[in-house]
Amino acid sequence: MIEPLAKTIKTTFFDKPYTTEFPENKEALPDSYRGRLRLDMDTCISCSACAIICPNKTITMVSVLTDKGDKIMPQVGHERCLFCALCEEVCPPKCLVLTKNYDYEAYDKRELVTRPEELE
Amino acid sequence: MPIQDAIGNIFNIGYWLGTGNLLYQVIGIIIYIIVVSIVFSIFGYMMGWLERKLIARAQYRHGPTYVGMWGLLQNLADMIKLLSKQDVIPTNSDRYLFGASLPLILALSIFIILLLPYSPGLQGTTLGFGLLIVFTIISFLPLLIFTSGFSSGNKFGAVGAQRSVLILLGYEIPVLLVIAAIAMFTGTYNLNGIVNAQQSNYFVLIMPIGFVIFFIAMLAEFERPPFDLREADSELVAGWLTDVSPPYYALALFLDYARMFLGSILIAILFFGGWLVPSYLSFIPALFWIILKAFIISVFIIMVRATTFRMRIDGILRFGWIWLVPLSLINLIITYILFVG
Repeated sequence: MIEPLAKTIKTTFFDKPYTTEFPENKEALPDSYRGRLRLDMDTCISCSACAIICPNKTITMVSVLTDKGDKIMPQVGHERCLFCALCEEVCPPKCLVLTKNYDYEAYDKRELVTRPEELE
Repeated sequence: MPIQDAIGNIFNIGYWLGTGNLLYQVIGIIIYIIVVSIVFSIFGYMMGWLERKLIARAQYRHGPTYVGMWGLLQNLADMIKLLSKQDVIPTNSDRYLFGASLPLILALSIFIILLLPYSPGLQGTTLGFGLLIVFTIISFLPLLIFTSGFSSGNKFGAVGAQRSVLILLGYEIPVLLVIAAIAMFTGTYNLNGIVNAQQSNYFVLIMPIGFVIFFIAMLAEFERPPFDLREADSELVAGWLTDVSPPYYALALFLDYARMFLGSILIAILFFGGWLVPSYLSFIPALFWIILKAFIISVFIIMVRATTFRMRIDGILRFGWIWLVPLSLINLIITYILFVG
């Protein structure tokens, strides 16, 4: 009786909770975590390597109006993305990267198709 | 009556009653009732919150977090929700008995709370047999629980009611024997006298067996786990509270903490010297010390809840009759031989 009681008291007053209060405090993710994609539009060279290598054909190149004129840049359909990170690996200027952000949701999967401007 | 005198003795009910004027006596009683009610309500509310929080931490969870600071207002929100629901009285029930039992239990619990001494000034009764009154009423509470459960017309309520009486049978005798030992040692049934008899040594040091028995029996009397057989929620839905409507259920939740306050104050008075502390600590008011002791005892009761699982009814009765009754007799005999005879 004494030993379990001591253990309970130790747990109660000295141990930290295992659970996290989700939207406010998120758990610490590892550096290798693969979440939503991010695009740096300034450094993108419009090479289409990401669209070619994407196994699910998730990435399509769409035309975007930038300061330097009309360019084609990746548009990502996150509803089909399998987070393989091949696009990140193949990108020559390393402008397309996977972030730790997993916090996106939608009622319609078409809302998950993200324009290059929204990827920044 | 000099006004400075009155302000200096505002919390000393003996002073107000000793004035001989009916108006001042009524004022004194009202002040006493207000002070004790505030202390007891805050204590009960905070324990309700702390119990959820501590049980959660014992299970590696957070507990109430979002309503108010640290979830402090969560219990208030629950209370408001329960009180705003419909009051349904089952057709099978004995309407008047069922409706009256639960408020009566709460009223009697609060009555005992008002009878206890909280400091040299704040004393509900200075009668020579205060201890007997308190424990007479406490022994009466399980019978009211029986009437409440049995008159609800629900089979779970009836089972909870029967268990209530069984627990009364098993645990009333050890409590009374421990109290007999205390009364024999101090030579008085006056609660104030019992506290003052602990000037040199707390009774927990003089009769440790008695303390353990009394603590366990108080857990059983006041329905705390591992003895919460009467409303065992995993087997009996809610036991004697199964057919109680939400507004009354809110009363029952408050009753839980009223009884917890009562039990821990009683343990503090009988075994931990009430408001008495070593003289170098006595610059802090006496009321603080007795509440602090009751608070620590309540936290310990919560820890026991977080650790143990519910006992079976036969195990409870066997434990009561085979261990507690003989041990309380031994405690009585040892106290007599060592300190009285």
